[in-house]
This record gives sequence, structure tokens and C-alpha cells, in this order.
Amino acid sequence: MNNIWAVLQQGVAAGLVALFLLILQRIFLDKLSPRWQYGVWAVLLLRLLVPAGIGARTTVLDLWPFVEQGRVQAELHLSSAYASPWISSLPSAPWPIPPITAPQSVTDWLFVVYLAGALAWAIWFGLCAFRLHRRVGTGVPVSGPRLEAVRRVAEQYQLPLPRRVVECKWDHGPFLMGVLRPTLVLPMGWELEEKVILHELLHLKHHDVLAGWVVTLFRCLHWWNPVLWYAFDKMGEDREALCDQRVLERLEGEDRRDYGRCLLAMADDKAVRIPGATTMANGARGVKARIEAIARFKRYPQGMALASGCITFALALALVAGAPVQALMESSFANVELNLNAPRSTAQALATGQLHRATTVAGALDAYGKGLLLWWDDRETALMCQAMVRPSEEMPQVLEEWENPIQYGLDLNSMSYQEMMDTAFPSHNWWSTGPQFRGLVSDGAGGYLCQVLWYRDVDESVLIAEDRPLPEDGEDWPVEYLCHTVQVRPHGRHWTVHLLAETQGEVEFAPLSNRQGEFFGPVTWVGELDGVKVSISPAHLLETGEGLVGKYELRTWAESAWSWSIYDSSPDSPPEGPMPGCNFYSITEGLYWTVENTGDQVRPVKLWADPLWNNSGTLEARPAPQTMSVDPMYQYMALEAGDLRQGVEGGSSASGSLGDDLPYFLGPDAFQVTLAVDGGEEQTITLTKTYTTPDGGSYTLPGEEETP
Amino acid sequence: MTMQEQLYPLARRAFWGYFFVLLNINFTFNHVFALQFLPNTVGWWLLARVCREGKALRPSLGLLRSFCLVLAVWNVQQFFPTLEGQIPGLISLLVGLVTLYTHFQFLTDLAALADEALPGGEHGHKLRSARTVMVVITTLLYCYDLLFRLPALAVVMLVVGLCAYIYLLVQLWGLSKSLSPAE
Repeated sequence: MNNIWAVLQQGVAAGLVALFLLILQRIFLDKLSPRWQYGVWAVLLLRLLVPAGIGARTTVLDLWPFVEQGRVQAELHLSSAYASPWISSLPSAPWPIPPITAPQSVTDWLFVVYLAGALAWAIWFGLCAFRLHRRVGTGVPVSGPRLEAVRRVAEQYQLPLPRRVVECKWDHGPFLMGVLRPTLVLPMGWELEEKVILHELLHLKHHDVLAGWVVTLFRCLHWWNPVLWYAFDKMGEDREALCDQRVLERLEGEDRRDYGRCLLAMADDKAVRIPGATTMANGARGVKARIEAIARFKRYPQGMALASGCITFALALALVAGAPVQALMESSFANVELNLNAPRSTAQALATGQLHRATTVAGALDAYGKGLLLWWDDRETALMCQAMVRPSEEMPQVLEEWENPIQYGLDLNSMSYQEMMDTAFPSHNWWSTGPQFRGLVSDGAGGYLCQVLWYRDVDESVLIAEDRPLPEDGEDWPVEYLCHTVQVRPHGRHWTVHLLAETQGEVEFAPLSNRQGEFFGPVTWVGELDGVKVSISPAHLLETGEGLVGKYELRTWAESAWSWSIYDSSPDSPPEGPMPGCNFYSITEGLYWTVENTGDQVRPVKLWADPLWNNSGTLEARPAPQTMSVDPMYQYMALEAGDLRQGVEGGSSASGSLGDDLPYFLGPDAFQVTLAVDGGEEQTITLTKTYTTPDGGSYTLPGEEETP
Repeated sequence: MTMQEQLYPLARRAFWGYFFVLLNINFTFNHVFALQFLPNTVGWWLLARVCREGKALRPSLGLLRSFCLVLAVWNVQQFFPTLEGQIPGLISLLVGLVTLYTHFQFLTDLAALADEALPGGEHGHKLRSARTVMVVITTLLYCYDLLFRLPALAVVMLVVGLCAYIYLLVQLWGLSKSLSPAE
């Protein structure tokens, strides 16, 4: 816990569990044994030890999404040193971590106050224990018949003996203290009551003093939380009630009634609450509850431990361990839940995005792609998508662009949002179809390179302005694309997406059939032999969800859709919401190649290209079955002087449940190209790896020199 | 009236109660309404009657009556499948735990009564075995990670659970037959 929000997260999570357990205890008050009534508090201790929202797991008592929203809302207007609006505040540890920098905002100061409070309580409890220790140190060691009586009780019930037994003048009731050197403290001259001694020795046997210290530690950590303090008090009472139960199980008949009388005699005593000490006298209210418990005393049926254990186990799983969010995503969250919980404010969008960071490469690309697709139609969801996949350091810029999209060349300050939508960005003019992913390959450093594509019809006014003929009936309407070449990087257990290059161009056909556009992938291998240049790019297409969103926004697709109507009478409606834990839905193989004759005469060329994959450091041909099947390529052609040939190999596709094995969706890591020019000898040429944009331009990876 | 005669109607009602609680046949109309042919509500109501009438024989059965009635009311939502998604997980957890305990305690008490009424204790032993399997399987269904990662295990658990249900029904039927005055 390194900021006030983390403290709040942990405290709220534990407080809710405590409230739930209190309700549950009430429901099962007369049904489950005191052992269960006390043992069930283990669930609260687990909750206190396990950081809230650990591993982004969701439990039935989660309020952390709301706290996160509050943090984003508050921190967006502050310049805190300990908290950030861009980084989730879920605690990484259940204890506070002192800051090393000076506080700079209200929330920072609140954290400092929290730390001071925790320290003050720790000092207070420490002083109390020290004072008690000193006072007990002045007590008179018990000896003779009184010590013998204590020994007799211990032997009779096979219980451990405390290291010391002392009598103190100031003491009003017997109690046990000390973890390493347990000491039984008796009031001076107190008439020795065996049942009370039995009670204290049972505390010793079950290490209740240590349990008391553990609770005291949590009291210090959560000093501001009254619900937890109440629960800790109740835990203490349940510990005493359980000890009573253990005593009663060892007594018979009249002895049980005597024990009840002993308790009644203590009803007037003030509750003694000293850290690290157990005492039978826990105040009138506590004694009343214990007398009622004694009245309910019964030996529980065989097997009750099983029922108690099962209930506690189920509670621990549901309230502490929770379920993996990713698993939920795979079932329903992806398509349904997120739409239901579509964010309605900036803070909610950012918080929800941070809480559902992409956990798969496909999920990261999907969220990134839909973030742009929904940029105008569903602004909050678009921002949430960005928060899912963009690194935190880029988020201030993302938010600025989102709030003030002047980057698109419009003075939005002078028009309303509606005007902007109606005039500057009519819906058909935005990137309405996508996202599609092309040429996914490993970057060799644990990340991946990929092209993310969106499409739209070329606007009619553009065609007219450029003096181009409008397509006749039956002709494809020109489609333009926007391509972001991105790097998907691992970030802990999440994936972030980094924009490397943006390219815009036109494709000659609707890109929705199983045909890849004839343009370069994110990585291109280039080589040359005797004036013949060869380049090869992985150009396979990948989709998530159930295909492209907004297919029917493209005229070509919408107009030709009738031909599918026998089998598919309604337009496809793949999920528009992001699916940060999804896998790829479809793959269409493809290799884009070019061969160019830079010489000044006709040249016959034979070309063989064998795709290679990196398999544990060794490049080898298709280490099946992990990789997709890209067949070796063979081309024979006669090239005129200056001729450039290009093409896309492959084209077979698969869709549906393709599994989550990422290598299956990765393009080759290298190629071995063999050329035979002018009927000469076959030669393997050396290839250079270049980073390319679709139009053949280049980009650089962060930290690398620009490729030639 | 002998113990056997007193227990017979209870055992018969317990069988029918569990028959309705454990088996589920329904027709769903447009995901809005599910016509239940063996509504759980009826099953819990029958078990509540067993608790009321069995209180004299075994006081701890009486403590379960309120739980059975609550579960009878709760299970009305079976008729409206869309409600299931709207119920907070917290309430579902609470009801799940109450159900777990009620099954355990009810069958424990019934087995104890069977032990008292019938010599040999065979029926009681089998009822307790079915009870234990049911409770353990129900608890394991909370292990979400296991279920998500090992779907085959979930299938195995469901099959074992189904077998335990059938075994339990057979035992309850056998118990009521053994207690029948005709026997």
C-alpha cells in the first residue's frame, strides 16, 4: 500500500468481508459450532493478507472498480507524488510502504496522516504491552499448593504449563500473556478455580495470545476502519466462546453449571483489552453472549467439521481468491458484460480500462483497433480501449487527444459536438470498418510487430474532385485504408500497444474477402542477386471477435450482401466492445513478394523462398504443429528491363475456435531465398530484415537505428 | 405409534422433496419464462414440512425449517431465467452456503433418525455417504480456476454430482420403502 487509494482499497475490501462474515455468523448462530464461528474469521485474515484485486481477480464483494474510478476522478486534477490517474492503485502488498518523496497533494498528505496513525497505534499498543510486562515482572511467583493445583489441571487435561505463574496485587482476574514466555497471571489471594485455570491453559494450548497479537497488528494497519475494529472485537469474543466450548467439552454435569456461574461472576468486571493477553473477563456484553452460547452447548454431530470446512473453503474461494477476470472474459465478459458496463464518464472509462488491461496479444490488438473504430461513435468506450492497451506514460497524451481532437485539423472549439459529428465527421466518413491485423511477427525481443488496418469508402466528393469516374453498378467502390504499424510489448502479465508508424492509402478491392492487399507487411526481408531484387513480407490476415466490425458500412460489401442472404439473412454483428482477453478468430495465410529487374535486359528468374521459424534459437522450416502452415514459395518468370512483379502467396484460411496458441498466428521469423538468374546456378542470397510500412516506407523500432 | 411409523411419512416426503430439488425439467420460452415441471420451490416446501413434522423426533431438524422456506421462496426465480443474471453475486453466495448447510444438516438428521428406526444402520450410512459426496462436489464448484482451466474436471465433477444425486434419491426411496408399514 503506497498511497491512500491502496489503503482505501484494502480497507474497503476487508471491511466488506467482515460485514459479510458478521451477517453469516448471525444466520448460522445456533446452527454451526463455536469452532466454525471463530474459524470463519480466518477468511477475514486471509482477506487482510491478500492484496485487494490481486491478479485482477474478481470476487463477489468487489468495490475496487468504484474506488479506482474515484481515484481517477480525483487524481486527474491533482499532481500527486504517490498516486497517479494512469496507474491502478490496487495494493501490491497488504502493509504500507513509506514514501521516499515529499507529499505534493491532498491525497499524498492523507497517506502521510494514515502512516502517522498506524505508527501511533503501534507505539501505543507496544507501550501498553511493555507496561503490562513491567507490572507482571513485579508479581510474586506462585509456588506450593497453588502452583501444584495449576500443574494438576494441566496434567489432568493434558495441557501445556505456562513458563511462569505469578500473582499480582493490582490484578482483578486471571489472564495469560506472552508468546515466547507465556505467563499465567493470577490476582493476589484469588481463590483458585480449576475451571478458570483450565480456560486459560486452553488459551495457551491453542496459541490464542499469538492470535491476539496478529489481530493487534491489523488493528494498527486499519486503525481508521471502524467495521474492522468491530470485527476484531467480535473475533476476540468468539475466541473466548470457543475456549468456553472447549472447557465444556471437558467437563460434565454440575461442573458445566459451575463454569457458567464462574462466568456470571465476571459479568460485572470491566472488559480488559490488552494486546497480547487473553482474559476470561470480557465485559458484561461479552459474558452475556457467552452464557447464551453455553446454554446452546451441544456436541455437534460427526461430520459437522466437514460442513464447516466446506462452507469456510467456499467462502475463502468466493471472497478472497475470486475468479480470474480473463476466464470471465472468455465466457461472457467479452461480448456482453462490457457493453452492459459501457463507461459513461472519463473517469469511469479510464478506470475500467486500467482494470481490464489486455492479457493476450490478440486482446491488445482488438482493444487498440476498436479504440480507433469507436473514436467518434462511442467516445467513452474508445477511451477505455486506449486505457486497456496504451502504456501509462502515453496516457496523458491520449487523453489530451481524446478531449481535444484538434489534431484532425478542425477547430472544434468553434463548434458543438453535434455540429462536429454532423458536418466535419459524418459517420460514413470515419474509419467505419475494422480492425484487421496483418503480418503479425515476433520482434525478437519478446514483443510482436503487426499492422492494424481500418477501412472506409473513398468519399464520393473526393472521386469527383480528383476527376475519377464513379463506379458503375456491380463495380467495387474504392476503399481506402488507415494502417497503424504497432509493436505489442509485454508489460508484466499485460500487453501494451505502441504506435510506430501511420500510413494511409487506397486498396483496389474490398479487403474483406480472403485476399490480402498487395502491400508490405511490418517486416520485409530484402535481398539482391545480379541486379534482381527480391523482397518478402509476411502478410497473413488475422481477425478477432467474429470478424470485422462494420463490414456493411462499406458500399461494396453492403451491395453484394444479398447473395449471402440464403444462409445469412441478417448482417453479421460481431462484438463492438473490446475483448482484452480474447484470442484470434480467423487467419488467412499470405506472403507478399516483389521481384524487380534493375538491369537493362530481359532476365529469366527462378525464385524459391522457404519460410523459417525460430525454434529455441535455431531457425528451422515449420516446426509443426505450433506454426501456421506457410508453404515454401516457387516462382518462375521472365522479367523485362526495369520490370517489377508482385504477388501474394497463400490464401487458405481458418476461423472459429482456433485456440490460444500464439505461434500458430505468427508469420515466419526469417526466409531462405534461393535465386537462379539467367538460367545460371541456384544461389542462396543473403536477406536483410527491414521494417516497412504498407506503402514500402520504413520505420524504426524504438532504440534502434533507422534501417536503410 | 412406533418410531418407524412416525418416520415413514417423513422419509417419503423427503424423497419427493429431493426429487423436486435435484431434478430439473423445464421448457424455456424466449429466455424470459421457464416452465418448470419439477419446480425446486415445491421440493423445498416439502422438505420444510419434513422439518416441521420431524422437529419432535429431532430438534435440530426444526432449525432447518426457516432455511427450507427461504430456499422455497428463493427458487421461484427459476421460472424467470433472466433474473439469474441480475442477482448480485453476494446474495447468490449466501444462498449457496445456506443450501450447502441445509443439505448437510437435513441428511445428517435423516440418517440419524434412520439409524434409530431401523436396525443395522445401513440406510443411515449410505445417506451420510451421499451427503458427503454432494457437499464436497458443491464446494469444489467454487474452485473457478480449476473449472476454467480443466473443463474436463468440471465435466467429471458434474457427472459424479449427478451420480450422487441419483444415489441419494435411490437411498431415500429405499429408506421410505423399508419404513413402509407393508414391509
